[in-house]
Amino acid sequence: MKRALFALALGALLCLAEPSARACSCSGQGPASALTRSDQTWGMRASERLVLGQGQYDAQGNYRPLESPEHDRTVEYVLLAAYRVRRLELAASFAYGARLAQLSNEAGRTLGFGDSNLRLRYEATDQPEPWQPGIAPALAVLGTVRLPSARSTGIAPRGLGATEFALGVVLERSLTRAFRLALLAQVAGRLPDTSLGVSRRLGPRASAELTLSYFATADWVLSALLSVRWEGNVTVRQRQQDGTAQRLTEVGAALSWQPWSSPFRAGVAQHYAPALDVLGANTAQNATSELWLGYVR
Amino acid sequence: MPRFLRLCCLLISLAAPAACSSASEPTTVFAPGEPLSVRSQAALVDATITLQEPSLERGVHNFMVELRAAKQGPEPTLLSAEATMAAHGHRASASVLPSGARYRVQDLDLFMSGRWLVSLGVTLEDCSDIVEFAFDVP
Repeated sequence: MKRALFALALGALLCLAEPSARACSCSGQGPASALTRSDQTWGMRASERLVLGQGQYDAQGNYRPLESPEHDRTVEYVLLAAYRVRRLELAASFAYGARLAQLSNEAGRTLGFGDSNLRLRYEATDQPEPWQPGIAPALAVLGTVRLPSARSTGIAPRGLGATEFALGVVLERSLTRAFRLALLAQVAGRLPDTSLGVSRRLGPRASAELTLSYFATADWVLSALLSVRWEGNVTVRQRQQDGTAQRLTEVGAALSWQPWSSPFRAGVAQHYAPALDVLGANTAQNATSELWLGYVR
Repeated sequence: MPRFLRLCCLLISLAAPAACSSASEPTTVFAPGEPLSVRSQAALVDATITLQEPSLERGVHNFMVELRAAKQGPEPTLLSAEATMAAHGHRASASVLPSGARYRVQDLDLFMSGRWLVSLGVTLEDCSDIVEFAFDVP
């Protein structure tokens, strides 16, 4: 215990003394971020997420807002637990919540577990220290398995209905003492399923997220996010259905409090898909708010 | 081989087959304002679909279905009609009513914008088949 406290204190001291120490993979600003620092062993994060559907994109990318009294709302509580072994962080998350939707003449409500995620994050390389030559970014590799533990059919589904395997890389680089840029690129494949009562295979997914973080103080981080997601055509009854591919572009902002001297973490984030033609196709347009509290040791 | 690389190989080997898809066949897409002719998957039945509303919009729709045997034979029968947006897990079903020599499919609620796949379950003598086409709902 004393050794852990000493390591924590030493880490905090080094962080305060050395500008580049802020540039660790611990921003906690997105799905690709590690929850724990390299000097920590485990952590937990509880978050509340509100998703407010505002419109939909058709197959050609034309946007159409929902009309009163239509609505599509989700409230979800997510518990994430992480365990670190040196450069490797293992994490699992579980969600519970409800989705209420009324679209056209249909209405539905789904209450229960969301999909569960298992994640492996390996910090392969660090960026060079300020006194070292080179501009290479820090590199982390992500492997994620999403398990279909949520109800996935009906007007208000809350899950994929299929097991998803995803691989990704995260490149992070400090630009200055206060700014840090991160890029997550991820590809995913889904296993066939029969959640609709017939054989189905969801298309592959590719996504990218760019995060620019501003370390306003030693404890507070403000981030701007830009993400794009694409999903391929779905296959039903062994026939691929062209024209069913999805795409979505989102912008966002996050504010997090992550002091070096305290095991507590907190943050808020807002994601928004701009209601503009072409920025989406075959998908819903949402505004997502998230509030989280974390504890790391 | 380092343990981490082994883990990556395992994940790649799991993700690769999951990312593969079957061969693509063009989907017959309904164009508002004109009847759609489409052949069933097993080529047993030809169907002509006529939308009852002047335009295709998000909401409830009705359409007429006329069935003929692709080759010579008795009249096919329309048993069911449903629409799915498979990527989102959405499904909408409709009632099927005989209307003279045709069938009226009514109250199909296409509640989301995007591409819906409509499946008509048909039988010809003792064989069942599926007529598939798509609605692009704006």
